Amino acid sequence: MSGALLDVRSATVTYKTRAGTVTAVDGVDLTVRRGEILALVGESGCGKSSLGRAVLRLEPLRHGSVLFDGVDLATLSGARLRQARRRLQMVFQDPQSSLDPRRTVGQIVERPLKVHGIGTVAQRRDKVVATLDLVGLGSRYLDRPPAALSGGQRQRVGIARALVLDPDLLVCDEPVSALDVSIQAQILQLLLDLRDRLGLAMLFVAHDLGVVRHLADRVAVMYLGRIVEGGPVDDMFARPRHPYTQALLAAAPVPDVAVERARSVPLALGDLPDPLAPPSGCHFRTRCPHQRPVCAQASPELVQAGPVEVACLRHEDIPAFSPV
Amino acid sequence: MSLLRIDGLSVEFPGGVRAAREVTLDVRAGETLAVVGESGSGKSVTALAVLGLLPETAKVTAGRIEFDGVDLLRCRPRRLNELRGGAIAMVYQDPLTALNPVLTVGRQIEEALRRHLGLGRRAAAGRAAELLDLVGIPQPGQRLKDYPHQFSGGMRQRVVIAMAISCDPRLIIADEPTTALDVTMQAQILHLLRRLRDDLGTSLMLISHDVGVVAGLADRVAVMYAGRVVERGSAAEVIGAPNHPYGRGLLASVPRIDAAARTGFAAIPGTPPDPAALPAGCAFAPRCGHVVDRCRAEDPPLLDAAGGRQVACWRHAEVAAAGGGA
Repeated sequence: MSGALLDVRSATVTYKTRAGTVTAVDGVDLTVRRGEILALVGESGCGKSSLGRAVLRLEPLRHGSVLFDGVDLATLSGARLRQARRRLQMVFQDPQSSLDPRRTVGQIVERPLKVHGIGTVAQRRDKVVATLDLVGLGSRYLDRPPAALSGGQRQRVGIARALVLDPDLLVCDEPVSALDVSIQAQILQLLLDLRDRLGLAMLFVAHDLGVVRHLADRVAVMYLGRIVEGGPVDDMFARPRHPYTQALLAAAPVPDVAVERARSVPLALGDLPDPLAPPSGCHFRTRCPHQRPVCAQASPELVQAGPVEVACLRHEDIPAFSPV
Repeated sequence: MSLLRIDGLSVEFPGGVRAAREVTLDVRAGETLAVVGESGSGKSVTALAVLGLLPETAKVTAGRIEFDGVDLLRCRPRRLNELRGGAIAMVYQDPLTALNPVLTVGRQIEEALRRHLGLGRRAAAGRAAELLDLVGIPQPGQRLKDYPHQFSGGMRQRVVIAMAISCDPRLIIADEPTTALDVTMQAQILHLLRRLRDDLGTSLMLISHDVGVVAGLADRVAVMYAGRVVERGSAAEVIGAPNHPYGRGLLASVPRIDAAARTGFAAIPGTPPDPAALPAGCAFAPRCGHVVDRCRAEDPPLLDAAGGRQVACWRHAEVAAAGGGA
C-alpha cells in the first residue's frame, strides 16, 4: 500500500470553444496521501482549477482516471457513488457566491446532511453546531444570513459545509484569494489546525506561492495543462529546478525593501501562448530563457532529479536559482 | 518640495460611513509614495479624491488637496480636466475600465496627445507608436490598429501605462496596477513602472494592498487602517520595522516565499471595524495586543517617532522596543 488516498492517472480535461478544443489538463498524474496537503500551483489558465474539479467529477475526464482510496469513481453509481462522494468535499474560492443568500448559516451547513439523508433533526443540529465550533464560529451564527458575515466568516461557513460530512479529502480551490491578507492568515491557520486535528488530506489549488510555502507538504507546479515540477515543499523552494518554477519564485514579491531593491529583470519573458495552439515540445519554451532547438521537438516527461520530479529536457544544465 | 499635498482630508458616504479620516499625505517631486492597506482602509477613496473622481454619494467633509499650488477640491472643473490625463495620469487595476472597447488603442492614445499636447494627426500617430515601443509592446506600429480586447491582460496594462505617460505627467497615480495580473506578468509590469519612473523622473503615488509590491517601488510609505493613516515614513523604516501594531501585524501576516522553513500563519485576530460604527478611541484597539485603557478612550494623532516617521499609536515606543514579530 502506498497510502495514496487520491490517485489521479493521466487525467485529461478538454473544453470545446468556438475557436477549437482547449486541452486544459493534459495527461496529469498525481497522488495525495492521507493527511497530506498537496498544493497545485500555477497561473491563470494552467489547468489547476479544472484538475481540482475533475477530481470531484465536476468536470468530465476525457482520458484517465481518478482513484479514491483505491476505487475508480467512474465505476461507481447510485448509493455507492454517494457514499464515496461524502468523503470528498470542496471549498470554493468565493464565499460570497458559493453560499445561498436566502438561507441561514445553520441551513447552509445542514444541507449536505439532509441531501445524504443523515441523522434526525436533533442529531443534524448537534452536528452543525459542533462543526461551526470546529471552524471557530459558535452556535450564535446559526440563524444569521451570509450577508451579515464578514468575508473571513463566510469562508469559515464554506469550510464548515465541507466538513459536516466528515470527509477524508478537501479540494480547496483558491479558498483565501478573495480575502485580505490579515484575514487570509486566519483561514490558512484554521486549515492547518483542521488537518492536524482531523487528519484531513487536501488538494489545495493556489496561485500564491507564499501561501503554498507555509501550507503544503508537497507542491506540483502546472503550466498550460501539464505538471512541470513536483516534490516536497522545502526542496522545491530551496532549489527550484524547472525554469518556470524559478520564474514564478523570482517574480513573487517579498515584503522586504532590501530584497526587492536587489531584484533583477524578470525571468519569464512575454505572455502566455494561445492555449488553443500551445507550442510544440515543451509548452514553456517560448518564454524560457534557457530554451534550445531540442525543446521544440520533444515533450519532456517528469523525471526524478534528487528529491523532486522535473519535466525539462535541460534540467541538468539549468543554473541553480535560490529565492532565499 | 511637495508636488501633491493632501491635508486633513475626510470623506463620508451616506449612512455615516467615514471612508477617509483626516488623511494627511504628501508626494514630493520625483519620489514614489505608496499607500498600503487592506479593503476599506480608505486608500482608494483618497486616490479618487485627488482625481476628483469620488462617486456622487461621497462627500468631502474636511481637508485640502493641493497639486503644484492648485487647490484641486476648489478649482474649476475645466482646470481639473486639464490636469487629469495631463500633469496627473492614472493607472487603474483593471485596464479594461480605462480603455474604450470600441476605439483602437492608437486612436485613444492619439486623442490624448492631440488634446493635451496639441500635436497634429501625423505627429500624434508617430508618438503613439514610440510610446507602445517604450512600454515593451512588440510591433508597435501594427498594434496601434488593434482594439483593447485583442491584447492580453498584461499587454493591455502596458497600453494603459503608455497612455498614462503619453502627456509627460508629473504625477502618476497607480491604484493596484498589478492586482489583476498573474505573478510573472506582475513582475514584468513592476519592472516597467520602475524603469519608466526612473527614466522620466515622474512622481508616483502607488495604492496597493501588497506589502511586497510596495517594498519594490516605494521611497516612502503610508499605512492606512479604517480610513486613517496610522504610520508614515521611509519605506525602509515602515516596512523594515513598523512601529504601529497594525503595520506590524500586517507584515507578519504576509506569508514569505523566502522563509527557510514552514512557519504557519500569523493572523491579526478579529476583523476591521464597521466604518459606519467606529469604536471610540483607536480603531485598531479591539484587535491590538498592546492595547491599554487610553487607546479605547482617545484616538491617537500621528505622533513623531524614531527615524523621522510618524505613528498614530499611544504606545509606539513600547511597540518599537518590543521588536521581534515583524
